[in-house]
Amino acid sequence: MNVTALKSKTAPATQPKQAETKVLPVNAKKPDSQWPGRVKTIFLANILPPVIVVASLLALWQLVLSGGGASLPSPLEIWQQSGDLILEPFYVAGTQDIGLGWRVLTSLERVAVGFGLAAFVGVAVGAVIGQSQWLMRGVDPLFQILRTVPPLAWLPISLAAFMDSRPSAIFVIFITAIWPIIINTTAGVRAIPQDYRNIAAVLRLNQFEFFTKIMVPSAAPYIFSGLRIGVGLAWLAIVAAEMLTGGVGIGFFIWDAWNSSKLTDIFVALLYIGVTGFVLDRLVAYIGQVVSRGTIT
Amino acid sequence: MSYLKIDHVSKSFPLAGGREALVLDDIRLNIDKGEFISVIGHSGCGKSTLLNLIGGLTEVTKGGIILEGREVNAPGPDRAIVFQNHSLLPWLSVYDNVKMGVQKVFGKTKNRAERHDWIMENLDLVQMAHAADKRPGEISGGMKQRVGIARALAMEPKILLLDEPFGALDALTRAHLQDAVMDIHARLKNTMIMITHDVDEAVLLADRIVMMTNGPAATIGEVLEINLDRPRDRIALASHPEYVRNREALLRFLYERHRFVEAAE
Amino acid sequence: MTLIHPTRRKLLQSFSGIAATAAAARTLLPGGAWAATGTPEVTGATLGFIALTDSAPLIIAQEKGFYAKHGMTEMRIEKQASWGATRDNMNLGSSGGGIDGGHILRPKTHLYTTGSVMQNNNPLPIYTLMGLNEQCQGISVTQDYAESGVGLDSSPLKDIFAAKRAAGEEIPVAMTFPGGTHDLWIRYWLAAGGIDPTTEVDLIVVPPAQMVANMKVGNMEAFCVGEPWNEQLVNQRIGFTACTTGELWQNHPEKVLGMRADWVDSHPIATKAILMAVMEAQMWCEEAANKDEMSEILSKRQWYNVPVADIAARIKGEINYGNGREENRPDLAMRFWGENGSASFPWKSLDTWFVTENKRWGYLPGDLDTAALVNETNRSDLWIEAATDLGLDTSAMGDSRGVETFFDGVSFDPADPDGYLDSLAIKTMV
Repeated sequence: MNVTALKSKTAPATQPKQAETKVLPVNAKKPDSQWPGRVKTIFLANILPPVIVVASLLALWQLVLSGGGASLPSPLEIWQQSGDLILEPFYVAGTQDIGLGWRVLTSLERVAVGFGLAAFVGVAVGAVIGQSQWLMRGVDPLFQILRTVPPLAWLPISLAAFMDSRPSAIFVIFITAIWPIIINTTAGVRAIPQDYRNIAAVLRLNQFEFFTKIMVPSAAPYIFSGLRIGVGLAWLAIVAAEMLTGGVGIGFFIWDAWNSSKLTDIFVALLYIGVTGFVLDRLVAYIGQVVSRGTIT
Repeated sequence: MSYLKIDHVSKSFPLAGGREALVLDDIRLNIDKGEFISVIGHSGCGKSTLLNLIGGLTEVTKGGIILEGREVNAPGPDRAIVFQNHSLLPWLSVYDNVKMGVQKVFGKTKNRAERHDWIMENLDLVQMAHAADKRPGEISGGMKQRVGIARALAMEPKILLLDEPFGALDALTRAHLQDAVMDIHARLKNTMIMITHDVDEAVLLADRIVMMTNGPAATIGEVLEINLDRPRDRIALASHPEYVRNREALLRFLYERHRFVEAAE
Repeated sequence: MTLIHPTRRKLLQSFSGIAATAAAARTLLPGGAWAATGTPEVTGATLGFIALTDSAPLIIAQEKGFYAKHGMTEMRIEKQASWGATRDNMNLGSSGGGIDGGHILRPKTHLYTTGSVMQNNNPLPIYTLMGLNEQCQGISVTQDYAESGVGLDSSPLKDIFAAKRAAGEEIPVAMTFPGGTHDLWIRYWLAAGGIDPTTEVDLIVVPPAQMVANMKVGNMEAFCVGEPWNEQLVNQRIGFTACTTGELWQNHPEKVLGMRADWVDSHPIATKAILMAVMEAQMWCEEAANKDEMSEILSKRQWYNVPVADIAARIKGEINYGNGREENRPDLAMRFWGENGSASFPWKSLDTWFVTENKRWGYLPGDLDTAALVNETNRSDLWIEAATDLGLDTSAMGDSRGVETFFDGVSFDPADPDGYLDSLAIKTMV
């Protein structure tokens, strides 16, 4: 079929009449450069509100608990007794006395491996299951039961199975994080609109092409939802597991501080844990955005 | 031998409880190459089902569909479909959406530069070349539908199937796109089958209008030949006696002889 | 402690010598000859500890460089999360990310080796290498009963508990590990006062911090645990110390340094080096002049992470019981070394008592061959070797520390453990 040049049906866009250029006075101000304005907007819109809220809550907390004899420490007490932990996240004063920053990194190392495995296996398993009604009906009750098992309950079993504390910890993270990943991936795969399937049919895409070009991108929002939930659970799991197994992670720090009745240390540790969890969540969300080229919000 | 022969085709769908619903009954239609066929009928008369059968997305229960002498029973790019919901993949740009089909069909026969040119030509055809790098989320409904048409055309299908492609658009956009389709048909002289609800659209665009009876067990009620010269100007045609007569015939079919009755469950 | 009869001394020594060679011959190593000096096979091991003052020698040996002095330059002394975690980590060994040995409750050697507390009942052979300390554990009772007159005599609690039982309430009494030392002390203390620990109270295993926390909210009647928990309880005015365990049985054995049998068998020289280092640490800890420095070191975040005040007083024998009673009893203070190392030397007769007492409460079967188990797990021979290398006089050491006498007049003759069992009124044997 020869395609000859097409005469455009619509009228060619006419050039807008050039406005008469006015001669501006010489001392006209140059427009402000973009940066300070943008920084100011970001600050006012995204940073200031949470800062104000947090500061007010701290003030309220201080007010409520500042009288002597309160069972919980006030923010000022926390600062006085454990402020050094906030100010020096990377000190090293002994093999088992290291800054909370180091402890978080130690715990994160295990999370990285465990979660990475869970992501890989979870998406693969979810994609396979999502395509078969029969499989879904078969495994769904099993998954629903297994996913409610708390991570700590898996620990003795995995220790007995692996006879090594290092893979056991990673297994506990893996088995905790994988369920939302599988379940969400399955949902995403099932939710592929019929239209996309039709396109794939018309184009006669093979299994692999369908998987890479349509299934994965279409299910991506669901998959990343699952990954975000999974990373949060993985972080929870390692903190809890360390309370039982020991070591130099942040979970064991909390257990130890509890044993020594150092409540203010625990509060500071909670701060580190919360911030880390937040960062992890945002990281996964960001990766989702990059991978889906902006279609996942 | 006709280009596309729909030979005593019936289609039933299985229902729960072992029963069957007969949707289309004994459809017989011959279509020539280069014809523009409109299919019109009330809701539920199986128009989309007929299109899906021709497109191969579903299989006939009885009879056969023969395209250029070979039976059709599977989908393929030779019968490209333009869906009512444009169905553009939102994570790909306009260019990439079209490219997907081109890659598949011409991956081995055209080289990269040729494929690129081909894609841009097809986008040009629907006046969307300027938006090649935009995402579907960034363009209007009408533009999306244009891209859908471009994608289908880029596969150089033997038959272009359009399933109420302009149903979701406003009247003005619809008018523009109808013009675009007529243009394309004039230039490419390809075979097109379009489902529509719109009587004016059917008469304006088609060479023949296939009028379906009501479902269930719908069949072809009548086929109306439209003998209007091309190119067709909608404004001029509005008062053209032949146009008006055809339109009247269509309306009588739909609203007098085959009134739409709510299907009793 | 009765002195060993001089003429029996040589006999016992030769018996322990035979036992040592026999034990060595059982291993896969040729000969079993123990070099008096030599370079250790490895320069490090991983020892676990729980944050209790009894583990001090292991830590002091690290802080004061005693391990390095004897060629063990890469020792890892690691805090364990709980006794359960210690058990699991010992089972893994350091090659499995666990520990090679460490600060354990003395009966654990027997409980691990027989497999009775292990996962799937898989036995884990352990050697008792040395005692880490004697006495200075505490039995604490909630402040509610401060006026009841309960102290060394637990009998005032019998009626109190009976009344609570009748009202349908539970009697939570906590200890640290089933079959461990604290479990045995609190059972002995209750039984001596006529209270059956199996039927009249609810004995539960609870981590030390939880013991204190539960008592604070009124959810714990009594517990037995090491220091600094009892001191902390008194300092926080939540409960009082009914008695310190030295009052139950003076100079009673408590924690030991236990290590995996396979590790010791493969690294005899390294084991001896560790023993020598810890002995030096024990001697250092025993000096009154060092107690303050010891408390400072132990209180660090690296080690126990508790205020110095919670450690310092009791290890010197200054006891504030918390119910008005305050005493200065150096004889009740924690002993790390004792006379010529008597607290450090792992007397076999003491192991015999622990096995017997665990039989009393059904943790070990009644027909278990006590002597065989003790001989299999006790390595007092290694202690003698190490002490000799340090130039110490080991002439007073032997297999038996003699007849032991408890506060209620009951006595235990290591030569007749069954007689002891028969003499006890309250027991639940299997």
